[in-house]
Amino acid sequence: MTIAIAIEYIPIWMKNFGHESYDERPRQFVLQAGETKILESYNHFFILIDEVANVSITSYLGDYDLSNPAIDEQTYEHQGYISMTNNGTSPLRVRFLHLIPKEQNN
Amino acid sequence: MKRERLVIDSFVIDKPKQVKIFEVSIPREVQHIIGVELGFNLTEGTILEDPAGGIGSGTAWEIPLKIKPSICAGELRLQSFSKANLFYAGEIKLDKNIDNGNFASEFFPPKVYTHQSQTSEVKIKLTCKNRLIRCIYRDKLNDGITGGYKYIVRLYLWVLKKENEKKEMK
Repeated sequence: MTIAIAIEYIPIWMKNFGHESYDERPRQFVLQAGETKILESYNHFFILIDEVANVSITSYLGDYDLSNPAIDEQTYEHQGYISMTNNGTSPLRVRFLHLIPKEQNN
Repeated sequence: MKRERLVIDSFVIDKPKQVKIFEVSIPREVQHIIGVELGFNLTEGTILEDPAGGIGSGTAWEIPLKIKPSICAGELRLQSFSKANLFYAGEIKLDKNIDNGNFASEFFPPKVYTHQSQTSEVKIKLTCKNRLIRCIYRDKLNDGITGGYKYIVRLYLWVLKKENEKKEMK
């Protein structure tokens, strides 16, 4: 997903889930060769804004791995227990937009 | 008048560790989703049996009192594009202890499909504001099976539908 699509898509996505106001933070993770990083994001969303090769991302909402033929559809929105693994031999940068819903006063 | 109806979808899994993502559309008249049920049908491949005895192991029969680990075929998550977000997460398990403590199992080995213990409805209540349900299925059967395999997963969504009484009179 490109940044332009993400910017247009994120407000619709967040509104669907009932979050009228939210914070956006750019996040960039560095993964060394073979490294696995875990993110626990049960109330937040992570939107992948890069087409990164050699990385596999797994979460409750789906999987992202361009080299895995067992995946029918790549998922760019992630939530829950997110696991990122660098399958390559060189360090990688993975960029996300971190969406943090704000509390609403009803 | 409200009536319970069933929305059925099925898909085939034929690759190890396959991740299947698809969407189920819910009819417009549906007000609530009230239950989720899963079905499993292995069409190709043979599931590993416990060598210590039990169903179809081929060794001498003894009273099945040992607890054997059940096999997880896969996990399914359902997501609604509404405030509910992820509303269901369940596993398809192949029960390996269906014959546990059954003294008659030497002559009539019980199977899951002979004892009606395969289906179990999970009751939920989800108001359908968005008509699409996103389904994420992950295959995990490759741990308990050798060689290639293929199976069909059926997803049953019990829904509460509003129906016009005048139509029913006709």
